[in-house]
Amino acid sequence: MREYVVRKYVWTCSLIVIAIVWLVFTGYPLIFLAQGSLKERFFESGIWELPKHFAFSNYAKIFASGLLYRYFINSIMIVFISVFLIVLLSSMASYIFTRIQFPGKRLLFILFVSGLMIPIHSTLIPVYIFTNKIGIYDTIWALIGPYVAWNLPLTIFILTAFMQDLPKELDDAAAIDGCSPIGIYWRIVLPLCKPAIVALTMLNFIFCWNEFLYALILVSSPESRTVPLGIYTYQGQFWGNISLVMTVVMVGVLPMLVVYAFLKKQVIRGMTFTGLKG
Amino acid sequence: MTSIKRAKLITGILFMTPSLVIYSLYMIIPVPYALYLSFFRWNGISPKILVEISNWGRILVDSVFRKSLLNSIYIGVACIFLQVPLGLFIALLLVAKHLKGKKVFQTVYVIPLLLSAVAVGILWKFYLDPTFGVVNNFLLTVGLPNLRRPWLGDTSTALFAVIVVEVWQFAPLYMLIFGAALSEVPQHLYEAAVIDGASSLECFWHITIPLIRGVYITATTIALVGSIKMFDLVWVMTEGGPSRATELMATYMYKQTFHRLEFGYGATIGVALFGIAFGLGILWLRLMKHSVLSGQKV
Repeated sequence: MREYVVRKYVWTCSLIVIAIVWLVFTGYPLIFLAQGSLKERFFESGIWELPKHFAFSNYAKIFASGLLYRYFINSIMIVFISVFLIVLLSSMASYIFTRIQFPGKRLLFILFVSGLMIPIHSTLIPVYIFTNKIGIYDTIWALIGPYVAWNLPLTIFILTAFMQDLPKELDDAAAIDGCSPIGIYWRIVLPLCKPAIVALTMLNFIFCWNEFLYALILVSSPESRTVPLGIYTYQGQFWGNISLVMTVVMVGVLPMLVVYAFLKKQVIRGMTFTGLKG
Repeated sequence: MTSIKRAKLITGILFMTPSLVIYSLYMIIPVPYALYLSFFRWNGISPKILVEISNWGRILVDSVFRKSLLNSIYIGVACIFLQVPLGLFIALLLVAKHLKGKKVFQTVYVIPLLLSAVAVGILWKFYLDPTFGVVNNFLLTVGLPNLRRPWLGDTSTALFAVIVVEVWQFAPLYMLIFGAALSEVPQHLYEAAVIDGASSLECFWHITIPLIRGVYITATTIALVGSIKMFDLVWVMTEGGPSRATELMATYMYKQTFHRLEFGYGATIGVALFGIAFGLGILWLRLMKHSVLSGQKV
């Protein structure tokens, strides 16, 4: 019995030690970032030390330039429109996939799902040419199309799986009562999908908010940059001023951390969905 | 009856068309168009010059492309053998009975996953800096000054450093995926096994592993395809340097296209990348046919 207690104790302790090691590995870079951004100049104190006096002057400085506001407004507009379209269009397509029979349905579904395997890099040059041709290069509108198209496959895939599991009896009952297919979609299927839709909104929000490559290629002037692209160009310009760059990075990741703080469960659910594409 | 059929038909067309149009314009049509461009020499502005298959001949003998392919494979293998098992390990840690404060640990563990690759790249560039970086200063403090390195500036360590950052950011994804799978393993299986005198290791080996095998294959594929598609992190941290030590297919394609204005050759690399990613995807589907998850519908 004694031996058992000792073994359990050792086991518990080693679990805690491992958990803390990973915690430090994960968390310390973030602390390093926050700490650096609060120093007026990066070398005013040693790298392990706290700032001499907590200074928000860097935060004031980067917001004084005004451009950062622009990046945020651009990102917010692009992400809101894109995520809204992704979720709306996916739910419409998934509804058709699960509720209406038509020839070639399976093939069409495979076409959408195969998008999960298309690396966006192989589409970049044509998308770049196309965007230039239709005259929206270097505007925020250039990014909405790619963002929607790029996220449709996973969202449609997950929503179709979800809608398939909903009981069809409700549809039939509504149809008998004279509800149109659009009415069934709007009044019955969509409300039942709410948990999946919330999680998918989170997932797509994270993907679009963090997207970098399309922005790098389809946008160039400072007025059209998104937050990731803005941060990227900022670090190129101010690499010497470490604390200032750290502040910009910090401000760039804060919105995501705030969303996470308030909607942790939904965010985690959304991220877990990426594993469902089997 | 016919009016219902007509309503369904109209709804079908109305609901499917927008997705199909956007998806085709930005994801499907570009692939054959890139293939078409791969037969030309073109700087993006002046008229295209037909060069037939010379771009394809070039890619076969291009040592930089080979290097970038090899680097992508290294990263892929490292992801499979580091990221995925680590993810599983942490997921197991978080379901262990005797660990207190799981919620706090999990909350922090997930954070890297939510950050943009640009932010992560810049942060780790500072973190790994030879002079003021945390890693080198830590080595100095613990009395191992000889291990200090310019991690991202040294050709022998740059790729390794990139892999560590990749693991830092994406191991939590696999933790979440495995966490979800583990929570679905019925507890009574363990209880029954324990009554029959099975040790925890035996339980893990004979109950947990077989039940999460399908998820493991999925996770491996996500890791593999993900590492082939990697771009942002490397671009921000090293731009493929030093001397191509971290060059990836995607970074090479970007440079050839938008820096050297070789649109034709860039498209060729893009199509090759597509072929490799798609081939791996198909291979994975084949594997999946024999796995647990194949019961899931299309």
